[in-house]
Amino acid sequence: MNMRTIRFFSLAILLGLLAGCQERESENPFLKEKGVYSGKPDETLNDDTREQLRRRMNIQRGGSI
Amino acid sequence: MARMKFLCDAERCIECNACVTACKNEHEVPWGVNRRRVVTINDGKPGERSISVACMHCSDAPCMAVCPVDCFYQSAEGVVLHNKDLCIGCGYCFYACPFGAPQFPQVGNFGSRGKMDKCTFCAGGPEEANSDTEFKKYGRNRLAEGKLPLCAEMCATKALLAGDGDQVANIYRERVVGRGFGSGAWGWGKAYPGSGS
Amino acid sequence: MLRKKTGEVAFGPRLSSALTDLTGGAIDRRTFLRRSGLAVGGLAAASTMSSGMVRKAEAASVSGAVEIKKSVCTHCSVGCTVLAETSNGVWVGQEPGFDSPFNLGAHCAKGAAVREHAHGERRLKYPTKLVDGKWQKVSWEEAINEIGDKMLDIREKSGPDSVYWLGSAKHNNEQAYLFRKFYAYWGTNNGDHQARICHSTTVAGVANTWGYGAMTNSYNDMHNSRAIFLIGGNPAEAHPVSLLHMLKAKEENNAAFIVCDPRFTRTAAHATEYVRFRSGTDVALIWGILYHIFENSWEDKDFISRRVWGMEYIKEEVAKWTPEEVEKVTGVPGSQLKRVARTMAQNKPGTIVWCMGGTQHTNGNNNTRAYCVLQLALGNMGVSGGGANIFRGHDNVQGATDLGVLMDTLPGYYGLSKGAWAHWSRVWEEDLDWLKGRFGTRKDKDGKDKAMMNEKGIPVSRWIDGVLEAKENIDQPDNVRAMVFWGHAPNSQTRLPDMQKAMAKLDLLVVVDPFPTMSAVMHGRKDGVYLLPATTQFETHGSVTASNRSLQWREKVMDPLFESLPDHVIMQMFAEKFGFADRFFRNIKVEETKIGKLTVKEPSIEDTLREINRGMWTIGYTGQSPERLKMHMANQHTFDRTTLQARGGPADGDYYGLPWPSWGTPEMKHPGTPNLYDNSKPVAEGGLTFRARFGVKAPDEWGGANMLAEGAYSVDSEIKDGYPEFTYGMLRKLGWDGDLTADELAAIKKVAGTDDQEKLDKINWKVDLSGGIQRVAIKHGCAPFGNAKARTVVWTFPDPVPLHREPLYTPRRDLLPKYATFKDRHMHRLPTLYESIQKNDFSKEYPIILTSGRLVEYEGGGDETRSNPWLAELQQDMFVEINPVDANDLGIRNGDTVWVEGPEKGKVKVMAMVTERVGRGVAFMPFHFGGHMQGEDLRANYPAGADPYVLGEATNTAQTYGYDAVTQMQESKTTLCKIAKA
Ligand code: SF4
Ligand code: SF4
Ligand code: SF4
Repeated sequence: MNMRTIRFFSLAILLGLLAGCQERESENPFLKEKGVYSGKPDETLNDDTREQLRRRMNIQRGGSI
Repeated sequence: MARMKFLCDAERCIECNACVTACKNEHEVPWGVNRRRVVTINDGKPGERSISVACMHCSDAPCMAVCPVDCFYQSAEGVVLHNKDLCIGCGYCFYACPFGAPQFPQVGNFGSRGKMDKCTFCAGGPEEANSDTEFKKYGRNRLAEGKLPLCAEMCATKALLAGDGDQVANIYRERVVGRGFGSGAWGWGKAYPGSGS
Repeated sequence: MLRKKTGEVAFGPRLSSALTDLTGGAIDRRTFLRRSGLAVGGLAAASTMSSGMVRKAEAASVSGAVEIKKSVCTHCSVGCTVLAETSNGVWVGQEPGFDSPFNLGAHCAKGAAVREHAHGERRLKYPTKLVDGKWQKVSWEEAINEIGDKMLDIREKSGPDSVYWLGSAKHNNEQAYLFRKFYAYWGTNNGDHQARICHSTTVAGVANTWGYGAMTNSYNDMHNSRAIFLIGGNPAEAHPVSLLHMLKAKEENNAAFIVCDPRFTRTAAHATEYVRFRSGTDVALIWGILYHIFENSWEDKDFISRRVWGMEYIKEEVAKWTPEEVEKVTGVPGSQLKRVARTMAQNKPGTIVWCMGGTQHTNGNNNTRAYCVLQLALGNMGVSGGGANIFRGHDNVQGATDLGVLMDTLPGYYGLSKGAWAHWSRVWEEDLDWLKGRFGTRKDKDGKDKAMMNEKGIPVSRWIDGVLEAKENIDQPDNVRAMVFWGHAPNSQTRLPDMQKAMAKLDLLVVVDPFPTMSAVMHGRKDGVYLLPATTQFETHGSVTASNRSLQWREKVMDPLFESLPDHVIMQMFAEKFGFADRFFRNIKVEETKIGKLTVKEPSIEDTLREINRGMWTIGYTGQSPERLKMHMANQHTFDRTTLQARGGPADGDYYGLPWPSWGTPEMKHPGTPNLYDNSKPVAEGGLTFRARFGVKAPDEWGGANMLAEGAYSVDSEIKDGYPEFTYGMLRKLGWDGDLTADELAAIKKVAGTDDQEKLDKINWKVDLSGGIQRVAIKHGCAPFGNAKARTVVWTFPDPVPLHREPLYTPRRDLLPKYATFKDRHMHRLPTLYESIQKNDFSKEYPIILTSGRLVEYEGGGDETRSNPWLAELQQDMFVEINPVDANDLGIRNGDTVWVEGPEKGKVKVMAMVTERVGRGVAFMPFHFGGHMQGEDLRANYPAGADPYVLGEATNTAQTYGYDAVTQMQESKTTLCKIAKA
């Protein structure tokens, strides 16, 4: 195996690796700022659900128990 | 709405482990991973007390502070959640957590839940609520269904309370006034500094 | 404590610092590392889960239609409602049943893990037989035919009594009833179930005191207690959700919570007063408390004079139990017992709770009666907040007992007399002579033929002796040759090495169970073993009776898994094989249905309950029609959580689950009886008197006094005094017979089989199939069973006044012969040893008292719960608790492997848990483990894939001989052992 082939393959591998670094290709963010969550945002609860949760809390009081 | 909190009333907890198996059941948590555990002190002696422990969803969460890849986030309800796609399973959070909540399934184990797994306050993770993906990675999302954590809802003696912190504190206060004693809202000082308990 | 789970490994060092917040002290850390062998077994097993039946992973997130099915937990008698979420027939989730007045959504570890049944990974999957030492799959048809032929052959050669039918508290009421009826049709009384080794001494002792042998009040009613006295029970582990109710009383009423136990249990951890006493000295302890009550005149004299007979005999015995004597025997200082006595006297109403710590003794019936006497002396009976709250164990042990899955009675405690058989054959519309012909006979001493039909059978605790004892010593034609374990673990019975011998000697061993159980692996046989897969209760429907006598209805959650079939379907198959299916189900619809790939004939559960309703007059299982029970389940939210009474809604006025007695026919709409013997309500509204069961007058040698109540009667009673049980003749005397309808009168005449007035007059409330006598009595405010005094002296028992007797294997030789045990007896077809064991001194070689009990994660023999990974993970090793002093003396350290050997030389190899939970000289082992035998791991003997995740030694391998003198309850709470490092 001569030097040229080796260099060719290394380049090809390097390119392939770089391609994997694109943000949309990977689950991980490409650039990150220290201390800031940069993953997928979570959905928030709507007001109805919140109200439902508040009401449900009373059950843990034990009802009439 | 105030933030979500847990409270375990040690005067009531009988170490029956319902909270533990309810959690396993709800989220199909595999063998070896324990999002919730019950710890007993003075075991077998007068003064024996048990407390059910999981992630306390601290207001100023130490796990969040130390995570090198910042995979944690706090929901609007104050639930501390993490993103398993970001997590690298380094274990720093485990050392930071005063409650030993983060769980690391052994490498190469079957049915593992990814790198780190912990209590989600039954709020799933950053995937579509109650989607297949969310369930597989984080378990069920009860909050999105308008239900509270199953461990508390199934607690044998209503020792474990989970929900809006103000309401939790109220229920506990009523009880302590009623019976005239209480061993205090265990862990609150650490998890929720300044919460008055 | 229970060896745990909490490894430092998982929590790291920081939790301990967080925990110091709570106590300022250090945590007692249990450093039990999981033994690799077991962990591997468990983990390896768990790993197979991903492939098998884990359906939730796929189904849980399905947003498709989720249906809620309401069932009841199958693990204890609290009766917690289970809400099952199903999607396309798959059980995908479990929600808290907040509406249930029993559990308000709460569960313990077991109840919160029942959805694992949907996986059923470790279940017995198809009928299996042992051929040349190997398990072989067979078809249902083949199995039933082969077993049936073998049994018919045994029947031919040795008589029907040579087949033993061991039933189960895991059956629902309908299945339990069919099972009882089944062995009647087979022609034997050799049938029994777990109640024998659980609360048989309670049922006998309590029923003989005031009429019925069940929990008198309810878990919920304890909300009203101002004192709770617990003895020999650890509900924090055995009935965890009951603590929800007890802690309410403790917190809100400031109720005293007194726990008496040789072991500082998890329940004791919540006590306001903990009394540690020597195992097996309950009578002495209770008399020690009564001593102070009588001495200070704290007894309820008014109550005693009106409602109790024979207290003076008790006083005589109690006078002997001075504080010094009590301390000498029990180890409890007099000052503590005086404090307990004062607390009980000053805080009324108070309730007493007891469980297996009291019942499982050679003098268990004395213990249970002593507890009753304490409550009678305090006037705590028949009041809300008081009562004898006897916690039953299994989910349906109360129901199976009521339905007579026992060796000494037909359903409803009718007994085995000619009259009892006549009654039930009327209910079954069966030809009594045909039934008689099914049974064997034996020659008695005078060479006369005795019908086995009226002879009590062999109790389950003794079946092994029915196999091993010499034929001439057994009062039946031949030894037991075939054994059927239909939902019963073997490792819950003592003397396992003997059982191993018995199993080897049998001709045929049949296990019908969702799990193979330890029976499948310990027998050492090469053939003649059949395992038939039954379903769990989540794969069928029917009613179940909780400890408080309430009936709840279970809906079917999912279809039977694998090739398993519901028990009643299997019974139908056997009935057909034995050729009596048509007569057996003559009033029960049997429908052809498909279960999985099989076409089977399923008897109607509803019709079965209706048949039960038509016959169970004695204890009022007559008003609980399937329709009423279903209506209650659908309207759980309308019932009050303390009184259990519905306020408004379709069940208005009813008590939840119609706690028996729910008198008369369903049409009479009796609301059920929430608290037995509570005369502050009319009988029609759930009030009651003490039952007139022991005649109107005491026998002459016991003073011959009036046994009927004096000046005490239930509200609205038209008879303002005591009265005997109702008969048609009594109605006539009172001039109330005119209230009977023409139909009722015709039914009474039909029962009498004649118009003859004298015979007609004798027809009583128990056999009148129309319920007319009950209806009329209640219409006039009277209890059908009469109004008598409770009796403190049971003149038909070996010890009429309850006496303390030392255990057979006593460590206290100095207390003999003063408190010696009974003479050897011959009872229940078998010789039963007492003094010939006690006279030998084992205490030198075996100096430590051995007792046993429960863990919250497991239940019974544990096959089901140890097969549930969510539970199994929490308790992976069998262990023995040893006091630090004993451990140090023996050179044993926490976590060491030790041998525990009983005086009959059975020994177990277990891990040592050094803890102050047990006192000096006491060792404790949980009884749920199985699958190891005297050091040998039997995992390889299970059918492939049906071995529980966790195996371990069974404590009963080391536990010894000893049986109650009335009921043959096994002695598993007090024996001796020696412990040595392995
Ligand atoms: S909140 Fe949910 S995830 Fe957390 S311990 Fe409880 S059941 Fe488990
Ligand atoms: S379910 Fe409740 S009582 Fe039981 S261990 Fe958990 S917190 Fe304690
Ligand atoms: S085992 Fe008993 S206490 Fe536990 S959930 Fe089942 S019924 Fe309730």
